[in-house]
Amino acid sequence: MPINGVTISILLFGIALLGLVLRRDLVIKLLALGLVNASTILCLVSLRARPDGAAPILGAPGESVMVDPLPHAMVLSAIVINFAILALSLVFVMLLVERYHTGDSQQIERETSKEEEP
Amino acid sequence: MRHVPLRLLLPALLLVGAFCAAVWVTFDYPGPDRHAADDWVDAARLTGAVNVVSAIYLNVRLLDTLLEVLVFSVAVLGVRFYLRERGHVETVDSIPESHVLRLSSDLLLPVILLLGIQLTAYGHLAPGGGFSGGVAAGTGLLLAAIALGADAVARRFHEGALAHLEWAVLLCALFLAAFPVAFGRPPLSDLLPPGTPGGLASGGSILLYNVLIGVKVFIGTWIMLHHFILHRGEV
Amino acid sequence: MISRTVLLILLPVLAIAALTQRRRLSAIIAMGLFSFALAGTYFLLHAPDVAITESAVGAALVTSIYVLAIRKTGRITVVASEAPGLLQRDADRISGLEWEILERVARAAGLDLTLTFLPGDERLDAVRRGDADIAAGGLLAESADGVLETPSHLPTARYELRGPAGQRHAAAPDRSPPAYFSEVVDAVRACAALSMTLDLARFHTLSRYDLGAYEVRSMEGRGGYTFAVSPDRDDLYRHVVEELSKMRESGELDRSVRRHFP
Repeated sequence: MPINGVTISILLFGIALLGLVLRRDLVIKLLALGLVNASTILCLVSLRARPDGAAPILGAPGESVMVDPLPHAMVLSAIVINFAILALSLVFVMLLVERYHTGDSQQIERETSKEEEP
Repeated sequence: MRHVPLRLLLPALLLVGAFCAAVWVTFDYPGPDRHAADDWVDAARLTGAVNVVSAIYLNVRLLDTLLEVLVFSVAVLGVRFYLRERGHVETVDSIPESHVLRLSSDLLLPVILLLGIQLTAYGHLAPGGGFSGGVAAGTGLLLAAIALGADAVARRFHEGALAHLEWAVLLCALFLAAFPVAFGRPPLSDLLPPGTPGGLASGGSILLYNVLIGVKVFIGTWIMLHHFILHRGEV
Repeated sequence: MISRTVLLILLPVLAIAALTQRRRLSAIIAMGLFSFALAGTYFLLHAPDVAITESAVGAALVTSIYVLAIRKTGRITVVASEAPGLLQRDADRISGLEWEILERVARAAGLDLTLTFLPGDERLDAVRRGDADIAAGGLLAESADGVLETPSHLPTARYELRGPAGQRHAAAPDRSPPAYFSEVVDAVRACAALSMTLDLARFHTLSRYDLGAYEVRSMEGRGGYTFAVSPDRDDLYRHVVEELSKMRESGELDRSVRRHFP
């Protein structure tokens, strides 16, 4: 199995999914979601990378073998949008934790299902 | 991963492992294409910028960037709204006065702000751009808030005017994008001349967009961090 | 080429280390490290724009925003006054019977402990207002309102002391309310000077102290040391009650008491 960015990104995606499912703390779940984002971005960037390539700047040495700059542009927007979504979901997690006095997702589920019972 | 019962851990591992293996086996990886970058290099030469990536996302695909800045603004608005209705503390406790922190922030803050300005203003010549510059400068302000106290830093801005300025900058960017319609050109196109590649005044309106986005992200980051600090009550 | 492979192998290791941490702060810092390694990887993959943006956003901003968000959660704030044997400060450590109980409660609840020292009356006010979660340090089990009192973990006995043998000071018309002293001997002297009653842990056997000059009379034993929990933290109250009963059943409580009050 070649060790390039694509395979490592698939591995990271699996690790992040496991962390998202198996950990009960809400903040750790958010961290795992961020890791999912990071692994996707790594996959996109390394799809078009070449081992002997050059940075996408005109006039850089080795310009003839420039890497494909389109994923870079897409990924820049993706990083900023991921951060924006993360900040907003962190606000919700903070409000949840303050309301139920616990950061445990199972306990919060129990409390909310108790509230919903008529 | 303690307290994870085995009846949960084993199936999760198997399922995720099977998923990852399936993705890897079916991944159609064509390998790097030798001539993929040629079209973009030609497009970047037309715009006159040296940084091909910023030529792409600020000239060829400008619409994606503007809408993404809009998403960022909405996120800042959401943070402001949800944290405001919970009530803020009046004054923020700052961490105890530390000589090391004060001295290092005195030394580092001008450097960080200057780095932010450089990343923003030279976005069309070197890697960087409005986003990284704005975020770097905003994090530098957070350093100032930690060292000097959040109240001391926030007193220099008027919160309401700051929020209005953020949306005004966004409107300026959108107006700049729609402006070519007045000259009979399609919107989102470039009015300014390309200039000599490598100089500061090159790349058309890429510099303007970079500056606008940099200012906007800087203000937005500071507002977000300030609301988090206020909600917690201490730095 | 080699450095890129090394960094790429380092990424899953850092990710696993980040997601298996027990404390939130350690996980956040490990994710910051991971972002930093990822930025290095992007740089080695010839993507400088992405590297700068990822390091600015992921390593700096995301880490600081998480740290700002998790402060003050996951903590139990304890306000206490110093009580020798129960909660005392020696050098830079804190030890005592009540501190051990509180540590066990915090570990069982998965939270951290922070301790602030306050004089006696301010403790109960802080807990009533909700600024602190638990008040400790030799609180007596009188029915204070506005707080939840846990079952007593150490019974106290009440003694009445009088001045040097035979000489009894006139009872002061306004008996000052019971204050707390950090040295038992001072407490004994002050109480005896005013002929007040004194609540002491039963194991603080008075025979330890040279009280030949005083006349000691033990009264009906009553009361005990408790914790006062803030009224909107009944989840914490339940934790404390559970831990106390567990410690009592396993004999751990007796062993701790004997360790701190030899």
